[in-house]
Amino acid sequence: MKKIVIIIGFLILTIAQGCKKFTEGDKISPNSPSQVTAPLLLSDCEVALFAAYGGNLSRYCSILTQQSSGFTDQSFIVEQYKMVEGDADGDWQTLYTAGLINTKKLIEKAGSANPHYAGIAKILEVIFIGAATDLWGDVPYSNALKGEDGTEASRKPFYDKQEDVLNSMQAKLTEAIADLNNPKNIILPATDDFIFGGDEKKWIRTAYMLKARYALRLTKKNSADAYTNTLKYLADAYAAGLSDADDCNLIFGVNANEYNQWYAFTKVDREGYIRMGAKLVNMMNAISDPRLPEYCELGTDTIAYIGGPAGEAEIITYGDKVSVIGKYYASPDSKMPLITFVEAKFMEAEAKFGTDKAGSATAYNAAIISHILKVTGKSPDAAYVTANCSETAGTITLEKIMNQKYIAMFTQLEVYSDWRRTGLPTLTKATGATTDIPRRMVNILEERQYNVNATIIQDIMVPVWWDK
Amino acid sequence: MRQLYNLLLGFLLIGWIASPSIAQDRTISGKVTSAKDNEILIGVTVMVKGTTIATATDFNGMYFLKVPVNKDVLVFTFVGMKKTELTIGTSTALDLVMQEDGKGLDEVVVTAIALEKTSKSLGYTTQTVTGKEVSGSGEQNVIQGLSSKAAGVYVQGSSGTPGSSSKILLRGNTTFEGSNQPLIVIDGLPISNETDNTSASDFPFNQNLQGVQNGNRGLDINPDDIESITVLKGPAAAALYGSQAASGAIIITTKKARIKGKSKGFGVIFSSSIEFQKVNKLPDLQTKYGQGTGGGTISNGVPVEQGKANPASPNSWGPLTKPDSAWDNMEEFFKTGHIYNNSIVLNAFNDKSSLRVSLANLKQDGTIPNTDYTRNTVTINADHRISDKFTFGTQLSYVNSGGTLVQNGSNLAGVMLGLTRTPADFRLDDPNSARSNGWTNGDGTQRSWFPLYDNPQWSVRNNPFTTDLNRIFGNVNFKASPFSFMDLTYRLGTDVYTDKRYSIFAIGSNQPASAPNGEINQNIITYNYVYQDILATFKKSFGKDIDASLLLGSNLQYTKTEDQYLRGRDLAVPDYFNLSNAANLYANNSYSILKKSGFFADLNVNYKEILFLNVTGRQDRWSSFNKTITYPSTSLAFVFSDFLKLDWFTFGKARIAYAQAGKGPSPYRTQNYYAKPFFSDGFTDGLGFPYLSQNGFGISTTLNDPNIKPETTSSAEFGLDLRFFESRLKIDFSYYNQQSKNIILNLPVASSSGFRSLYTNSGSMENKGIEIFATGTAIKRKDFTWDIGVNYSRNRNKVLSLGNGVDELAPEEAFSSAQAFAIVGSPYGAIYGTKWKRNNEDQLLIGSNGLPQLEASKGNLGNPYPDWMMGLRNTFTFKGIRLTGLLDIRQGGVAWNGTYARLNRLGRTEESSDRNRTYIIEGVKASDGTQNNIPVSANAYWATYQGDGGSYAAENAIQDVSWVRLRELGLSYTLKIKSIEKYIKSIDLAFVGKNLWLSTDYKGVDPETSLTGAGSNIGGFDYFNNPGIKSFIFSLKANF
Repeated sequence: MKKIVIIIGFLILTIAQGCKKFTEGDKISPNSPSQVTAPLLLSDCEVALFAAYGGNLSRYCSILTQQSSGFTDQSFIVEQYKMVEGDADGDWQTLYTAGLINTKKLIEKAGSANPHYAGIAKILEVIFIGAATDLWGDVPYSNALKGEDGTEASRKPFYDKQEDVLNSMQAKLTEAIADLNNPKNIILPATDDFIFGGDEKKWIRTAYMLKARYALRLTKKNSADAYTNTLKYLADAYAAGLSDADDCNLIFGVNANEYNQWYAFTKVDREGYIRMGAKLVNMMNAISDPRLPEYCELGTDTIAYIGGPAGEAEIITYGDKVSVIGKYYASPDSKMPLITFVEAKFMEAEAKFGTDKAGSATAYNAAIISHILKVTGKSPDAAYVTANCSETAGTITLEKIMNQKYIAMFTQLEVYSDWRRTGLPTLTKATGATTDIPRRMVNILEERQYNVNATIIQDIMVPVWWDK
Repeated sequence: MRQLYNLLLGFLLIGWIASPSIAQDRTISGKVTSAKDNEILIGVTVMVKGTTIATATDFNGMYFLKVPVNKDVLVFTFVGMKKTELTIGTSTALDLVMQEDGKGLDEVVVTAIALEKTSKSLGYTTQTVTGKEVSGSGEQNVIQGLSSKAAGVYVQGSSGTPGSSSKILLRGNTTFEGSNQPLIVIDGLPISNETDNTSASDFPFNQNLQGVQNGNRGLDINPDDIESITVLKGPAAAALYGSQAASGAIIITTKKARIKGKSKGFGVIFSSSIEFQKVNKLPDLQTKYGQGTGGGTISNGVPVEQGKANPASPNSWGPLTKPDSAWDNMEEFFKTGHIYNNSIVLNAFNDKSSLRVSLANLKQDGTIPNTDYTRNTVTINADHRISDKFTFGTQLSYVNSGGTLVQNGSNLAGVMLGLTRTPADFRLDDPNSARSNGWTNGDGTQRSWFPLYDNPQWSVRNNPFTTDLNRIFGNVNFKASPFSFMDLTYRLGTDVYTDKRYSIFAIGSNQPASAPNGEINQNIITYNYVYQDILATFKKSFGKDIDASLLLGSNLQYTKTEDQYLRGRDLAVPDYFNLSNAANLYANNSYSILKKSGFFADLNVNYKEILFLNVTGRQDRWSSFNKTITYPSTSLAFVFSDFLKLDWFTFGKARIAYAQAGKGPSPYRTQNYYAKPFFSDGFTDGLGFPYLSQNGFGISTTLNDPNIKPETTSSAEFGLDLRFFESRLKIDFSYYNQQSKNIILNLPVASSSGFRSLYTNSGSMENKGIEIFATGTAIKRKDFTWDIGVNYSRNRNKVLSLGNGVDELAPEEAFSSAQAFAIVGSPYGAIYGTKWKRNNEDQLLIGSNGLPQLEASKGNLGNPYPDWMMGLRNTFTFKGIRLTGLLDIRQGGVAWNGTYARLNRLGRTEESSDRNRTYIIEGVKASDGTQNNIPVSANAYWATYQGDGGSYAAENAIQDVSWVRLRELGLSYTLKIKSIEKYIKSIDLAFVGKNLWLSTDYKGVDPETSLTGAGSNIGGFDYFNNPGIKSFIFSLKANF
């Protein structure tokens, strides 16, 4: 009997030990990698950028500035400024959990051995955080993106003041330029860099243009300093060789998962939600702009380009007569401008306007001509040039600069910042809207819910710091 | 773990080393007869009390048993007879006349790990549903067959289409994101009841909201092979399954050939049935107005009835239709579906062996054209007693099933989406000279009323989704009794299937929008599961009054799942559906391995058949967590009726139980990974890799917790089992309180941390409820009986916490206006969406446009689960005729009827045809609080106030799903013809009607509907769901 018990006891122990071994191993997923390479991360960051700047935020800014018109469903809600908390959470997630966390990972991965990767990652970081702060003001930055630490605090980052964020961005761009000027690299970006194919010179010029853009952002704070700094950074950009061939664009492709997001939205997934806006189309019609056929497609029963007046989408007389977004901006693989030589010229025109009217006019004329050539493939005819881009020191006005910039910068987030900063072009709130045009994005629901340290501003009429 | 060994070893040492060693045996023999007719009884189990030594009576009713000298009591058990104990004393021959037992007190219940226990001894509630009840329901899905047949069992079918899923919950939801469905066990082997979804990794939305209704794998069980189903309703009953037991278990026992009381036999049963199915409920649509816009508006204060025809608009706010060109497209679309079910069963057995082989074929064509489902099953049950000490058995099933499923839900090719939105003046199936049918134009392209939606007639012919599944599940088991005090059981089982799915969107289909030139999807899902149990049972009596048994068990499980997905887009050659025809290819694959080991003990102590104590423990180790976890359980049953000695009070038992059970984490969640992302803002299909021929990886947005462990559900249960008048009336009552803690969830975190969620143990939830089931015989005459069975249950679920700072979360994505949420303080799965603004008196605040205003924040719109459920069965038998009816009552619970809202907006509902008028919405003006008197147009009323157009609130589509239905009506007759009895023993003829009557206020399809199906953890969504069915079944069964 004793023997039996001992044998059974021994068997149980053996089985139990066997069980312990049985469940060891198979801890690491065969489906997802634990480590990846810098090129994979760079491609990831850039596509995240194309999504962030080419998707909902672009449409949102475009509807608010009345370049386009939200006709139905969620787009009409934006048109009426009736966005609710949570509507923009997806965009916020793209900026932080697709963009910024991976630029951080890329900077870590690049280390000091691969400064070009680090430099590009830093520029991308600035572009991501730039959109966040322009639209939401104070945002988490210095303390953000630390979730992997595993602590409770790492999941509830404090918000930085917008002023500090903007200063950090300038510093980050300075670092990026230094990185990109460092020739010692073990690996270099190439086809994994959709934007410039690894061309560090073009990235350096982009960095200077970005410095100029965020310097100019501060015109309401201290316009003289803003203009001086803008011109200084633009001079650096030109000195670095900035030309019309250096546009930083969002790159799309002909496959469904690569579609230009204006194309995907207006022609594939959400046809009829958004059409051209009356403000932009009317401005262009008034000057018989040669870019119109590229910007708009003719509506159903008219030979003229028609934009939908803000808020009047549901009025039946418009309907399908209103133009939809044209092929230059909404073909499957249309590039979308992010920051361009044309913008640099408009920034120059604005920054010089107070001190150097002739220089301002020259930059203005160059900007328009350059943009028309880019969009239509040919230079504007003489009549157009005479009428619209032959400004002189005596004729140039800030309104002309900002109106033409508004036309040239179609689909860009920057238009909404420019309008808030300058009030130009003059916009009237949409018909039926119960509030004025918002000064910021609706607040992020998940930040209010899950981050006790978040700065939550629910009123979309409260301007961001630089807009005050 | 070590502590447990010590404990168990200790038990062994104390319990058995102290026993005197085996001395000389003596042989006892005797004859057993029945008191009822004095006939001998064959197969009576005779056991030496306190040991596992047993035998059975032979053809002559005789038994011979070697009894150890220190043992003095024999126990006789036989189905339908009173368990009897005889003291041996000095005799060597003991005859017994067994008394009939009408009380059913010694019914054997199959419990966790396939352990058989007498129902009397259980300290927790179980409920047994017979195989007859399941197959008699006419349902082909075993899970659906359980509907309203047991208290506390919530079954929700998804639609009436062939091969669709049914979801089952016992005592509500215990977790937020993992499965809440119970473990399904067949003859001791847990089998997969997964509802596998087909979804590409680059698909940015929740596939459950569209696509087809995939079946739950419980569908592969042939209901006719089932002997009985024991429902282990909570952790107390299922505790031995440890980390898999939190949601209870469904223990299925398959049929064996052996007939108790007979020594040998051979028989053949042939069955055949035909079922006719009709759609049972559809939305009420109008045929008065046609396609167009502008109708139902107001011009200069006067209602404008008719609008202008506009073929480019999806709206039916157009002009009046002409009588000869208004169509009821639904009427033309749905057809009568059929199910043909044929089977042959062979039974053969003698006193040592038994063999049952069943072959069954089911063939179904659905109420939706071109949908079908076929199931072929072969099931073998065999056992063989090699000697008194050694038994071998096996159960093995092979299943080949599959068919053609149909698109549904939020999907351009969805049948109901296209069908119900189609304006009355467009006939979907309208052949004329220019074309051969209604769904193609003369040139072969699709003919549709609106460029965005597929013509459903086209869709069912050109967008098929086929599945082909091959599956084997079963186990072999060996039982040995090497010593008088010990039994050993070894069980090795496997469940293996491969599901090949092929989905086509022909060139010219609108779905999917991102593939205008056609798409082919191929998905291969494989599941590999191995299960092993080693069990040792020790029995011992302590003195005269105490019997004890201890089971020690070890369990290993290995699960490997694989998913391969291939997609081709941009097809060139029409009607050629091979991936080589695609210009654009995409693929993704994944596999995962999960290993589980468990070690458990089950101690039963029985004091004088009055007090029963059960203590169990299980320790689990899984490859998906780094710890060892222990689950205890204990229960006590007290038979108090023995003290009362009242004639009419046959039996009374009080029981109390406490148990812990768990739910383990998914594999590979103890560290962080990179993932191939896709980026979507929710409006477009977004951007994804490979992108311009480059690959990309980013850090996964989910953080994993290295300390993840199984969640724990603690359950306290109290119950009464009461039987009166010789068990003519039985009542079983239970109250339970289940607290689930450390629930595993993707805890949302603020994206500014760089991540969106943390997979961790967080959150808690409770379920409290009562379950009552009762059976009674109201009338019992010689030729006529009337039996009544009723079951009632209510469950109150409440989310107690989710995580630090988290008050609400969406366990699964749904619609932007209506989602399902876990909200602290509310029942799990509450519908969450946009609401109207109201004042303190709950009156609507009406804006200057006459419409209510949208509240800024979303809120809880209602609980999709019922307040209570009741099943009521009445059965009348008169001679060989049996008439039975099962009423299913479900009270409370809501659904978001997105179908209704959209159809109102489009002007398709019958109600929206009342449009030559204006409406004044009840409420007060937001401006001054006075009674609203601002008229709105019919269009604004139906499109926004009752629809989903403009600034609408999702709350307007929340509808009560309460129902009363005649779930089953059965009439059967057993025919015995003396002259041919030699050849045909009997013929059963039966008629079953399913769902013949339904009463509900729900507007639309049968409210027993679920867009998200059994594969999802959320419910209560109706967005163009396919309709339910009612059916008539005629069957014949011949026993040869």
